[in-house]
Amino acid sequence: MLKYLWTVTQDLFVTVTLVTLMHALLTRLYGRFGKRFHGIGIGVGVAASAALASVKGTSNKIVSSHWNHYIYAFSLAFILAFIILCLIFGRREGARRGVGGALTCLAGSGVSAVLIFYHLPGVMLYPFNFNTMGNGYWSAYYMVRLAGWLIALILLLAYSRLLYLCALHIKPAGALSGLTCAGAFVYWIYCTGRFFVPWVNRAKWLNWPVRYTKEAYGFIGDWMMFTAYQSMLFIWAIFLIALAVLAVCFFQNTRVTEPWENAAQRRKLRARNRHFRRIACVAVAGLIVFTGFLTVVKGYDTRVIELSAPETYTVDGENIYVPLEAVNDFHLHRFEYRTENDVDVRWIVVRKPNSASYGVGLDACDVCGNAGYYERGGQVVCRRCDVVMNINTIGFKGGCNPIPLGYEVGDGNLIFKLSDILAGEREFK
Amino acid sequence: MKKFLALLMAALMLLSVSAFALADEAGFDEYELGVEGEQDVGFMTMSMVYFQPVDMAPADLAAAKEDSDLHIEVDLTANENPYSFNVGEWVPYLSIDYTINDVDGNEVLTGSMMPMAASDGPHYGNNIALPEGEYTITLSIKSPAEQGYLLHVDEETGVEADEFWTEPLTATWTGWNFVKEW
Repeated sequence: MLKYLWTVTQDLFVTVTLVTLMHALLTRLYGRFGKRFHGIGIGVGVAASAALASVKGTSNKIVSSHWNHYIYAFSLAFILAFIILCLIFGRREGARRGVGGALTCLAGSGVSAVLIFYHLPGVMLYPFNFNTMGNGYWSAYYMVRLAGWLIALILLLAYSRLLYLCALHIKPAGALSGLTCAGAFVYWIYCTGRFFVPWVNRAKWLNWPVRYTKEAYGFIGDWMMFTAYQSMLFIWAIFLIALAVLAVCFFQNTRVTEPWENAAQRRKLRARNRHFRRIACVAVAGLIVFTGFLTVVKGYDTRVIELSAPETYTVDGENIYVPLEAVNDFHLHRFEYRTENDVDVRWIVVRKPNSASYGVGLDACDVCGNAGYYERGGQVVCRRCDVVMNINTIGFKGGCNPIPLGYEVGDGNLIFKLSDILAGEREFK
Repeated sequence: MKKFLALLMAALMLLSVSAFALADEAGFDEYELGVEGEQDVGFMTMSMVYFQPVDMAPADLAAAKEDSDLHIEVDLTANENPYSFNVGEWVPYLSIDYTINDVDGNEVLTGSMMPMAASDGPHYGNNIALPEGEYTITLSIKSPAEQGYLLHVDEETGVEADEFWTEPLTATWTGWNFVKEW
């Protein structure tokens, strides 16, 4: 669930913010025409995304990297055209539409369509790729992930609506035009780097003649890698632009500046101001929530798992004794023995569900070596490849299962032969 | 005007949907990994590629596509060798571990490649989770003896070598700019 809260936010925040600002700006500048024209752009973007997602999800006809390259090319062209047209025609509200206005709407609609088309298909496909561990669509695995995906989408849509209402009411229209162009320009800069990804990735399909090397293409390569390394920087820049729109809306509505004729009219104006201040505050709260998703939640979800501390046991001669009461709680327990060669041999014990038997093995497997296992939500998970173990098969040989370790049960203890533990030394060297 | 806009929208949607239906490309591109390209490692020629994470079966033996950023592969073929592996063909039963370091030399990820088959044949590979960035990847290739693969060593039927290599072979690919484009 957590993963989809931050990934959907990360994937769509820029798109939602820019498309919303664009929609508000074109509505402000060209009224119903601008709103409808831009609405078509959004509709085309969503329809094309659905079509792309559908074909991509059901066939092997779509090579995303090829498409992305051209999407970035279109983005660069549309954004540049939009910014130039906006600087010329986008300052005055209610001006005569003319050819310039129509072109501005066309460019704005194009920007929104390609933004949506680039970012939305992947998000649409998430629910079809949830890893349910073979438990199907009605399992808790699926539902929890779906909930994260839906919550993020609903929050983004709600934020979009609030941002739109604020953007519609900030004065003058030139301020909104400036902030929208600034946002579009930030994204344009990002696109300039991403456009060269196929080059640096040695994409043969473009027939770019020369192999990328740092020496030969240092500047372009460095810039492309900067946009890759610092992709969050661009998201935070758009975040600040959205925050600026909301702040302007809030502070422009702290006092009644319009003329009023009587107390009732003044109260009405103050109530309207209060309404917009509240909208701005709720939208800022939304931004804070998204910040939490992109920092705290993302950090927690992608943290490096530390192995739990080894537990105590007793050694008597050639045997190691682990009290059964210490491992009877159905949780994962880890033990460690230091050999004469200073190698720490680790092994794990977990009582099997609905059973009196135990899953016992070295804290290593043939596939991932001695990465170890940890417990997550009652499941035993490989720390390296994140594969969830079937607890009932722990102790069996093969694949991602812990390397089996012999044991006996006696006198209230699990009894391990020291020689078996020492035989596992090579796995931990 | 309303009718015109509605017609325009419908036409654009139809166009966008039909454009995908006409697409006829292959489903993925392999990207070369590192600046070295093909390398001769021991008696093998190796190259590394990467592309989008893939579904593998059995699912519980490898990292899920959902939890991965990319799929890395090492493609290898045998050259003249004393173990009687067929020249030009894939070498089975190798144990290949990888270590990925960032540009500052910090170890970012380690793991093992699994033997598997794709539409283009058998290879060693795995799904991994890795942030975008510039990396170096080093492979440590242990001999088939690690997995109990035997050699005939008698006069009549034996191969040229008496045993497999005992120290792992290593190969490094540098300057790998990983950018996720799928």
